[in-house]
Amino acid sequence: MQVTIGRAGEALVIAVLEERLDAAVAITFKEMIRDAIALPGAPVILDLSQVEFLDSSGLGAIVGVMKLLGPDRPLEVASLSVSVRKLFRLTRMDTVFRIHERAPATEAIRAAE
Amino acid sequence: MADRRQLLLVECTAALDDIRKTLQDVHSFLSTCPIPECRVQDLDLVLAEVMTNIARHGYPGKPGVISLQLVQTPHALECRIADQGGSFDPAFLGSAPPEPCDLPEGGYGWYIIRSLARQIHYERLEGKNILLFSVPVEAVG
Repeated sequence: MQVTIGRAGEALVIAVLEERLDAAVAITFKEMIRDAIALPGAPVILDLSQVEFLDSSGLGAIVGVMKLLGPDRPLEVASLSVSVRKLFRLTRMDTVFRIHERAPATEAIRAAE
Repeated sequence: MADRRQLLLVECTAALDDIRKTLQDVHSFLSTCPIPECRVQDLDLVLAEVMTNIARHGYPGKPGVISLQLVQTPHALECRIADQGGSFDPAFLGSAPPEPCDLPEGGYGWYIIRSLARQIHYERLEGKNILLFSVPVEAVG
């Protein structure tokens, strides 16, 4: 799994470079994002444009990141594929997360692997 | 019967990495069949939820095998998933979805399966769990 981390104004933008965010990688994903959010910035925007598949374990990990961030640093999601958006709607997580059509343009900070 | 065609029969170990790889292969294969991509995605998600449940709850902390059979009919993909893990409590089939405002990190599996699959049937037969369900598929082309 790989993520890239960028900045857009005050926001920290983390792009998830993984086609399948599923049960097999959910723990690794959460650990990588936990490291990434040690950097300052709010809100934190997860760019999911590369994610074609999300299951309930992957979704649970995203919710877990939201809890790690706490109420002062909102977690938002961007660039959901059709199937990922469908899971957000099915679980009504689209009422919990702010969803951006596209991730904002960023200045690169670094890539993590 | 001419209107029922077996698409695939695969076995994988009940390990999350192997399930992931198997479902990637199944998805790639189904994408070559005349099935709408959105239905392939629905099926992929249902299979992932079912097989992850088997790995986590059917064979907790021990090795096991999951077998998956897919049959195409004119209007559906019929699935049969079998494992020899611990028996499954079908009461889960009726469990309510978690409340999103509580920020649940799990508990959605069966709700997702129930939402996307039809004709869900479970039986315990000679030490095996057998789960049958179908995903509706409209004809393409």
